[in-house]
Amino acid sequence: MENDVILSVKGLSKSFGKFYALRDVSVDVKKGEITALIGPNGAGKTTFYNVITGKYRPTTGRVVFEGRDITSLPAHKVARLGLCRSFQITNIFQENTVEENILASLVAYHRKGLSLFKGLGSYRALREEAHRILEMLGLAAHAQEVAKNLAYGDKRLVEIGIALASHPKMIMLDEPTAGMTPEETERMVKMVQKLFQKTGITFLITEHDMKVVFSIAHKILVLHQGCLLAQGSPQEIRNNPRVREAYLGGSLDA
Amino acid sequence: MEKGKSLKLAALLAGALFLFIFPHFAGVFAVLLLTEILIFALFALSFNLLFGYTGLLSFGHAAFFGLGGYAMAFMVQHFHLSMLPALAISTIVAALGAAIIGFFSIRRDEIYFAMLTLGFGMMIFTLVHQWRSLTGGSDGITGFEVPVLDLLVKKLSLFSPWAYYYFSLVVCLLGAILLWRLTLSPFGLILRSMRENPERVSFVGIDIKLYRWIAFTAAGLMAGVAGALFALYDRMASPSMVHWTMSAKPVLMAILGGPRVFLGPALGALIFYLLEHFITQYTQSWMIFLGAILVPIVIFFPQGVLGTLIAWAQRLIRREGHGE
Amino acid sequence: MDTLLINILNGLCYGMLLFIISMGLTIIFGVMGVLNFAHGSFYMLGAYLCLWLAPHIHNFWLALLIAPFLVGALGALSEMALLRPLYGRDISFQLLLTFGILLILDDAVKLIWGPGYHSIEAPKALSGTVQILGSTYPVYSLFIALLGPVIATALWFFFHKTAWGKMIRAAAMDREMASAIGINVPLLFTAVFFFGTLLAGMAGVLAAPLRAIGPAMGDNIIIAAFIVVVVGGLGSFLGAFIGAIILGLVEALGIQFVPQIQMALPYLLLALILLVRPRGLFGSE
Repeated sequence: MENDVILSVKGLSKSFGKFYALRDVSVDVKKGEITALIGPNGAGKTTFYNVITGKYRPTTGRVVFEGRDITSLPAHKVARLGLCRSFQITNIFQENTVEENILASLVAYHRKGLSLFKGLGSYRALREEAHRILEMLGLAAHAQEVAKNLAYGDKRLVEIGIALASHPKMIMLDEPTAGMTPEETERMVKMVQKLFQKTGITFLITEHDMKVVFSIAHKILVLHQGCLLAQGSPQEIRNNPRVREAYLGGSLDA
Repeated sequence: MEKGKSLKLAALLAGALFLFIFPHFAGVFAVLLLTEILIFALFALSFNLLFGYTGLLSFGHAAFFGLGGYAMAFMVQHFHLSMLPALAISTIVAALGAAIIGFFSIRRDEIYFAMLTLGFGMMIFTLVHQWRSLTGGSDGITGFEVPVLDLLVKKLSLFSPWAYYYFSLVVCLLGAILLWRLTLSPFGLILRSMRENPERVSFVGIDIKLYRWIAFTAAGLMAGVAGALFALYDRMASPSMVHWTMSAKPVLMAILGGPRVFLGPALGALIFYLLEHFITQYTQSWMIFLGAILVPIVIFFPQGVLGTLIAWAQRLIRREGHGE
Repeated sequence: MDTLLINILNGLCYGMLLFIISMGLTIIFGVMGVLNFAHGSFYMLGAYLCLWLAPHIHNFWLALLIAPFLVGALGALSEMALLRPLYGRDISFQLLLTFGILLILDDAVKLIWGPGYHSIEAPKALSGTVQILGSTYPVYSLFIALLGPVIATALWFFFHKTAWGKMIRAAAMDREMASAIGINVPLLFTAVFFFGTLLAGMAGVLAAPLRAIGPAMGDNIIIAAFIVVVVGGLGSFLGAFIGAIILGLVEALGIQFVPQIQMALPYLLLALILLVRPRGLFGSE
C-alpha cells in the first residue's frame, strides 16, 4: 500500500512570527489520482504549496516525495525530482515567445542549460517535444507569439505547459481557473482531465469552484485555518458535518 | 518574415563592410575615434549580457574593464609580453575578478544587486587608487608601448593607429560573435527566462544562482578584453577606468541603443561617441545634452534607438504584407 | 585622545549631513520605489543656491529657508514632468531617468557658476572655535553635529504626529493600500519628491560653509548616501539615522586608524551588510 503514496506530508507547520499559516498538517497523496485541496481564503493552501515546493522552509514537519525526504530542499531541486507546480497568478515568461516558454522548461529538464555556444535552433528533438506539448494544449498555432499577447485563458495553459515540459511525476496546480470566465473554466477542466488520462501524472489542485472540485477530484483535502479539517472521497467530504459547518455551508446542495 | 531577415542581413553586411573599408580612406583622428567606439561597443555588449539578457543592472561593470586594462598595462610594462599572451592573461585576470565578485553579488536582486556591484566596483577603485607600488596610484600605469602581435610565422607591429584599429576590430568582432552565440544557446534562453521571471525558472529545476554566476563571469571576462584593448589604445591604465562613472557608460549605451536587441548597445556606443564628438566641438557641457537626450529616450523610447527602429521596420513590413 | 575626540566630532558632523540627505533619499524610495540618482545633485544645487543668495540677502538663515524650498520646487517639477510617466515600469528606467537629471544638473551648475570651487563663510554667530576638553573645534561643525538630532526629532514628530506624515508612512509601507484607502497618490508622490529633494537642498546649504562648493560634490555624496540607506534599510527612517552615524564615524575613524584602506571602508561596510542582512539593519523583509 505504501507504494501507492507519491507525496507524504507529516506534521507540517509553518509560522510567520506568532502566526501559524499551517499547523501540524499530515496528508498522503496517492499516485495516479487527482487530489483536490480546498479551504476558504487564508486557510493556508498557497503556503502549503510554497513549503512543499521549496519556496519556504517549514517550521516543523517532514515532506517525503517518492520515498525521498525533500523537506527544506531548494525549489530547483524539488522540481528536478519531478514535483512541479503552477501559480495562482499568471507566472510565465511574458516577453518570450510561447515556444520559448516551453523550451526553457525542456532545457532545464534535459540538462542542456549549460550548453553555451550551440544554437538553440539546432536542438531538433527539444523543439519537436515543445511542439507536441503545445499541440496537446491546443496552443500550437500560437507558438511564435510573444506570451504577453495571448488571451488570459491561453496564458494559464502556457503556465501548465511549462510545468508539463519538466516531465513531472506530479503537478501541483494552484487555482488553475482563478479569474476565468465559465467557458474558460470548462476548457481548463477538460484540459486537466485530458492530461490526466493521457499522461497518468498525479495532480494536486487547489480550487475554489466546488463544481470543478467535485467533478474531477478522486480525493479531497480540506484545510481550515492552517489545520487539516478533513480528508476523503468527494462523497465523504460532502457528508462530513464538520466541513459543512466550517466551510461549505449549504452551498453543496445547490 | 523573410523580408525582415534579408533586410537584417543587408544591414549587417553593410556595417561590416564599412568597418573594414572606411579606415583606408579616413584620417588618423577618425580611425582613433572608431577604435575607441569599437572597444566601448564590446564593453557595452558585455554589460548587456547581464542587463538586457539576464535582467541584472550592474553598476560596477567598470571593475572588470579596469582589471583587464591594469593587467594588460602591467604585463606589458614589467614583463614586455607580446600581444596575445598579454591579452590572454588580462582576460583571465578580469574573469577571475568577475568570478569572485559575482559569487557574492548574484545573491541579491534588483536594486540590491546594483548597490552590491557598485560597492565592489568602488572597492576595486580604491584598491588601484591606493596601492601605488602596483598600480601607480592616481597617476596610473603609463609609458609603455603597444606590444607586437607575434603570430609565430610573422611579427606585426601594432604601433600605427591603422594597425591597432584592425587588430581591435578583429578582437571585438570575435568577442561580439561569442557573446551573440551565447545569447542564442539554451543557456541564453535560460538567461532571458530568468530576466522575465527568476522564480518560475527555479521552479522548473534551474539553479538560478549558478546561471547568474556564469553570466556575470562571462560578462566580466569580455569587459576585461575591452579594458585591455582600451589601456593599449590610451597608452595608460588609470583609476578612471574603474570609477563608477565608467560603469555608468555601458548602462547609458545599452539604454541609448536598445537593451533588448543584441547589437543595440554597440549602436549606443556609436551614438554616444558621435554625439560627444560633435557636441564638444561647440560646447564644453556635453553632459547636459547627453542628459537631455537620455531623458526623452527613457520616457518615450524605452526600447532604445535600434529597438525602436526594428519595431518600426517590422510594422512597415507587416503592413506591406497585408496590402498584397 | 584629542585627535580621537576631534575625529569622532568630525564623524558626527559628517554623519548628520549624510543623515539629512539620506532621509530625503529613503523617503523617496520608501514611498515611490524610486532610487533617486540625482539626489546628490539636488544637494549640490542647495549649496550653489546658498552661494548665489549670500551676496543678495546677507543672511545665512534666510538662505537656509529659501534655497531648500527652491530645490524642492525644482524636484517637484521634475517629478511631475519626467518621472510620472515611468511609474509601473521597470525600476532600472527610473534609475536611469534620475541619472539623466544628474547629468543635466551637474553640467548646468558648471555652465552657470563655472567649473572651479567656491566657498562661503559660516554665519557670524557660528564662526570661530570652541574649546572642548582641551581641543579647539570649529563652532559651525559642532552646530551641525547637534542640529542633526534636532532635525531627526522634528522629522519623527512630523511622521508620527501629523496627518501628512502618517500618510507618507502608510504609503511607504504599502503603496497599493494607500491608493485603496483613498490617498491621492500622484499628489502624494509629488509632495514626497518635493520634501525629499528639499531635505537634500537643506543639507547642501548646511554643507556650504563646511565643504568646498564644486560641480563634483553631488557625485561624491550620492554614493555615500546610497550606502547609508542600503546599510540602514531602504525606506527605513531610523535606518537612515543610524546608518549615517555609522558611516560618518567609519570614515572619520578610518582616517585615524587605517588610513591606507580608509577609502575602501564604506564599500566594505556596504558589501558586508548586504551579504549578511540583505535588507539592511532596519529594513523589512
